[in-house]
Amino acid sequence: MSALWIDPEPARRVALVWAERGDAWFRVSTELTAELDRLHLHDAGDTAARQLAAASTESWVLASLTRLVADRAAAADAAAPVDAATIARWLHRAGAQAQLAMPAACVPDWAAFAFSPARGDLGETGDTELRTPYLISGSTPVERGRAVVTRALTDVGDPARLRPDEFELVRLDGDRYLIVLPGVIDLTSPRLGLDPANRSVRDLDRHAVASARSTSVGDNRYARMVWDAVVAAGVPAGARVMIVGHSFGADTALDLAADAGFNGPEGFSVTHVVAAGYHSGPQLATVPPATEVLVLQNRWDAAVIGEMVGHPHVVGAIDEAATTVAALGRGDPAAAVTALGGLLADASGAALDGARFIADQRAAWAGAAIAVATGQLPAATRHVADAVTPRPGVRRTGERQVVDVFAGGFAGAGHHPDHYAAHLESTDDPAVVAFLASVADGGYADHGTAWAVDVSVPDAR
Amino acid sequence: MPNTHQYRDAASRYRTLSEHALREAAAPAAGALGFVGEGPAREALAGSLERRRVWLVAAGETLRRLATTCDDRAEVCARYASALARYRELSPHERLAVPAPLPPAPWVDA
Repeated sequence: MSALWIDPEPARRVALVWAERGDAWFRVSTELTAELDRLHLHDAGDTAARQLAAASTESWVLASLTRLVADRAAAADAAAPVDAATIARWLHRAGAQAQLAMPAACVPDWAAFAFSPARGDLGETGDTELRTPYLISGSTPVERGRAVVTRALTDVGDPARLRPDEFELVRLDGDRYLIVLPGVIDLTSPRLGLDPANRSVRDLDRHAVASARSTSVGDNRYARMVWDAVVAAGVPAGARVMIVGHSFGADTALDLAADAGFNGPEGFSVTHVVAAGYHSGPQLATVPPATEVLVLQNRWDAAVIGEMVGHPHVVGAIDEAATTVAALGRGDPAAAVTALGGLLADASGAALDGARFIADQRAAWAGAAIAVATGQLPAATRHVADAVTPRPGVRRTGERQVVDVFAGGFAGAGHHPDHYAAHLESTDDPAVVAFLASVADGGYADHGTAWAVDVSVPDAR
Repeated sequence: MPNTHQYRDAASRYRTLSEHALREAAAPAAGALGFVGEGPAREALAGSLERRRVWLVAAGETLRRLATTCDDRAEVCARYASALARYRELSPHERLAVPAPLPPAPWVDA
């Protein structure tokens, strides 16, 4: 055993630089795999892409190892003894197990290096690959809580962080776990059936639609695959877990949190859920009260609006409301009254549904009706926009559930995770800030090792 | 289908990436680990740094070969484009006597 001398602050700065270099080379590797298809250079180019990915992986190991060593030294606040077992433990925690098989200075075996191309790949279900570590900064618990959730939301929208057939599992320093669940891969370019390039479970028509109609893990193959993968990865029973999901990932996060087998005495302790870009209303009631939930919805998110109006009472209410406006516009009070009656009935149904969507928008529809009736068309347009989108604001549903609807960007039909990450970076709403403080209190605002886990649906043939 | 221009662009890009990878690999390791004293922690870090260097050198060399492959393909595409242009300049009567040039490889833009 020998004493450890390290200057922690320079070490932490160097760790960040190595992580960034790893990120940069991994991005190049990702772009290369996408370009190889176009240039018909698969065989020759695949080698280079793998080697760059391997260099990235080793950069991330180096970053994590440096940071662990620096933290150890800082915690001891003086020269601290270390032994081989400690070093082995640090290397394992840094994600180095895959690299240890290759002695330094040997010719690397690139073909044996696990690596997914940009489009994902077939098979390899449950396989893991190291990704850039969580190096969380911030001088207060809220800042650090914000940093970890923002990082997770950034990862779900970045193909250089997560491939189309992957989700992310992060082992945080205090033996907490973070599960990061991206959404569907075929929303902007729909296709029927699974993507033949990767058979990802993150598929709209094969898996997301069926799951959106229910609050059960039984109807959600993505949730079942994540559950299996988390167990296979060795996350111990009873471990404290936070889940951050976007879109279908948010649906899956809530399904898992609501399942007593996953979030219960026999499974894990899901203490926090962040559900972004998903109409979560019907599911919130099924999540146990011990789990804190933050729902984030961009009011311009077409997918959220689509999910809201997918509820039958809401569809009916919108139809009736539109009919009311049209009837008033053409001076037909009898038709307007009839449609208004239907609107109120459906609005009540919507509220009973738990959607509450149209019920909350009655003032906007009334404003639209008056504006149409009095010939103020620009005002009518504004009111209709108010009526068919969720209203901005933060509300609590119960003690431990916060729903934050914000007016974010329009790009990507308002659904891109970047809108959610940008909002979370800047919001100072007290309820959201309290949630972020709770994330930190729960031990999640910490550094960690990130793994991408493959969720390709096995081919039964 | 890729053409001469695209292969030349790719060759230039891969050559630049190769240079970056090899330059980064050549950075002296001793300076990079100045924050940690001698001992097992430094040895572990040095081992990781060395593995990273080996991968970067391998990637740099592969990228250099990939750039050469792209240069070669650009040449093949250019020769085929010239042959095609010459063929198109022939009169309809002359074309009857000469077979139209076929793409010499599956990756050549027809």
